[in-house]
Amino acid sequence: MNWKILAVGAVIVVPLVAVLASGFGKDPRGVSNALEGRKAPDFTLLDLDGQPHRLSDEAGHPVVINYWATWCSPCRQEHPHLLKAAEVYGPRGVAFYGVLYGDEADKARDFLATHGQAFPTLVDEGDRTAIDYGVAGVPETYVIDANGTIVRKFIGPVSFGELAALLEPML
Amino acid sequence: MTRFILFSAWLAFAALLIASPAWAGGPLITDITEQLKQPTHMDEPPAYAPPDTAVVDQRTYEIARKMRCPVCQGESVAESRSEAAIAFRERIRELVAAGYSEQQITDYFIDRYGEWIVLEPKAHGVSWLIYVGPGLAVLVGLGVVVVRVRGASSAPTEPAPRREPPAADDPYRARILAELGETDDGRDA
Repeated sequence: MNWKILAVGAVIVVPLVAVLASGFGKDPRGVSNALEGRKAPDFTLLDLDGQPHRLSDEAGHPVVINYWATWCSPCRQEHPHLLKAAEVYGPRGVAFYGVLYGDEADKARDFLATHGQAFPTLVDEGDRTAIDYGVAGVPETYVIDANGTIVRKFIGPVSFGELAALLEPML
Repeated sequence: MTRFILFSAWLAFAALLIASPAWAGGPLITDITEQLKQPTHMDEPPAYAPPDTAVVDQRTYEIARKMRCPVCQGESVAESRSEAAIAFRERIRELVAAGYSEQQITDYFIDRYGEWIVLEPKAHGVSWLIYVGPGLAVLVGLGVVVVRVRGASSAPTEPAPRREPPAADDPYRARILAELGETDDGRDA
């Protein structure tokens, strides 16, 4: 056996395999949860009725922010879960907000009239707030504690159970 | 005369009303506009003074070109026509126009989306191999070539071993010749 050729081959192949192996473990389109554990970016947005809402006004209360759109089918799937969570935890001091992402206010009004509404939906012109939150698609849901820290970012549809598990210890 | 005075008074009142701040984009509207002005959410002040429009366009394009469109397949923010990419470009333009440097803007996006958002990841961790790897491979290759060439030139040159012609009574030779229909001296049989 030619040990020299084997050594040279190993020098080339081993790092290549290491790079590929580290990549195989990750979803190439996976979005980071970089903001978890950090202060939630403040915003002031108008809801569908033109009323302004400022995140910092909710200081002292846990907040759930759900980025959604009418064209997004997983958003329709999670909608009843969010309604239930808002009905259970809203009276216990948790603030819920929907933020419209890449969609029109009129379509959102129609959707909410049909499927029910339990919390304000905010209009984010130019998806400006969505970028501040690192939103890369919908639905994405952020749970913020009473200190204004993002404790969890859910990518994809969230369930009532997942929200309850996070919110219960905060109350 | 009284009518004229009354009319003038109404006119003056109407003019005052129109000119009052409450109507002419006054405190109420300004309040909402001010409230809706989103904070920049940048950790540091801008690196430069706000640049000219032409510079803003150029810098926005340069930064957008290196950033991944979050909802596309392998497209940059500069190339994509998706709504998300348009929103990204607007945000980049806003920050460039405020005087933020390319590094500050890239850091802002990495901070929120992770390293994934830039098309050329920074050289750290395993990803440094992407940058160092090709150079390293060329160096190793050159090293191998140099060692081989030196080895070949320093080795004593030996004459190539002479191949003995097959013996005349070799049965295989006789058989080949027979099949070719030739005699041993090259003439046709």
